[in-house]
Amino acid sequence: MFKTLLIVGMAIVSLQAMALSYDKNVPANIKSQMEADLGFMNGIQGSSQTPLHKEIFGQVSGAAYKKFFESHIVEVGMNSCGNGMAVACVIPFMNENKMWLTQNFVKFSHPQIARLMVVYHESRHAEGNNGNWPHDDCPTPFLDDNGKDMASIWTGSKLEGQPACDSTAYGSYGSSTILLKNVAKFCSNCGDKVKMDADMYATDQLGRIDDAKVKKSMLADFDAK
Amino acid sequence: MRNNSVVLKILFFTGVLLLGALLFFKYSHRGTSTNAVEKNEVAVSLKDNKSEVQPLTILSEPKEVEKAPAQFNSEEQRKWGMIQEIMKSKNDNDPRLDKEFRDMTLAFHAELFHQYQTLPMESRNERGLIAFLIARDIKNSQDMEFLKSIYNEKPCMSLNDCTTTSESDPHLAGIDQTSVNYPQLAALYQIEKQLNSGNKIFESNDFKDQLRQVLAHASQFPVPMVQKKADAIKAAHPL
Repeated sequence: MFKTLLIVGMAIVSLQAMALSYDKNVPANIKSQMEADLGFMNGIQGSSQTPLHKEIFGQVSGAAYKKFFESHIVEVGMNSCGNGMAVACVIPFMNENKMWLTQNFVKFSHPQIARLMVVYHESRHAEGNNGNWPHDDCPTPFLDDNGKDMASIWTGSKLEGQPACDSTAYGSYGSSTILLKNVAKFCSNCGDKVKMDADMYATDQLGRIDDAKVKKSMLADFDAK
Repeated sequence: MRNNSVVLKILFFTGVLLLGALLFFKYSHRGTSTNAVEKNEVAVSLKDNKSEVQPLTILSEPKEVEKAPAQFNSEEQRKWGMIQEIMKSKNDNDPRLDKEFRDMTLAFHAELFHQYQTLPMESRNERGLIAFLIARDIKNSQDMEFLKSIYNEKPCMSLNDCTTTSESDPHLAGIDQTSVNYPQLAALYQIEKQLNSGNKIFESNDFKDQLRQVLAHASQFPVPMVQKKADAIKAAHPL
């Protein structure tokens, strides 16, 4: 009896301590989408992982992703995140362990893995002990594999000089690339679409690594077993 | 001695329950105890961005639920209801996508072509899902024509409104650029997978020729990331 009550008591305390806290102004549809997306992530099972993934997240497993996320983010609120196209952000000077979502989280038609990539990218910015992993300024010029400027095709805005690159595999761009590449390669209960999407969106994030040696080491990591 | 032990147990249970209640109170009320900065931020957000106080518009859902076509048999009707449900749920990892939609009937393909055309352009994930399903289950020349038609579309310029451009934060703009081109990319990724797995349908000269045409159209699509993917497939798989 004593032991049972003790376990129940500890479970109640533990559950309360781990649950995400949502601000009252978070709309129900956004909260349920966030919970559904995290629920998918928390259920992932993997057959293996690359060395970099093991170092940052541990195994390819829902338990590891849950632990990572909940050790970074404890609160969720609503914010415009500074621009009309944002989906989510972390604003360290306000509260580095709070994830802000925008209406675009449910309004825009992103694949599920793209939403999750943003959430995990932003949660990496919650690491105050690592200076919140600030981004580097992209080099000038910042060219793609074909020697063309990395720029928005429709607005023409170039990425050169913008704080939108990383020269490490451990920052937000690097860690989200590693996460997605491992989901694409090792997730044993992900469907064809999720695996395809993970590979597709990882390619975008990898493009923001502006140090050739780092990028090469990441590509070697993805080939490692 | 025994009495002391009972008292200690009671005190311990009370302590655990009080701690649980305290934590429950703390976390369940965290959202309401916003500090001054948060309150200011909310106020600024409401003032600066009118859309935040307007009813939420879901761009990604079709205005009307697509009803099952009358000519469908009962199995097709069941699957039609299923795919509509999956699209609405936004659960891209629904296991039924791989269990139920690998070998669809020609009539089902035809209805998916129709739905693709009727979905709003901004429904990028839903349109991409249809492109993915068809490219994974290529059966005949109509499928190849459908895939070709995806690269004849006007490119979507913004997730908010495909017909106009919008400035975005360079921080995560790449995700937006991938999502606006998602149907075109999804079809190419699946074609690549079919070629890598040695799908026998492409052994036929007719299909080879049609695939060449699809990839040629993809190479002409006015978005570099789509062109690049098409060119990479052509380079890896000379047809």
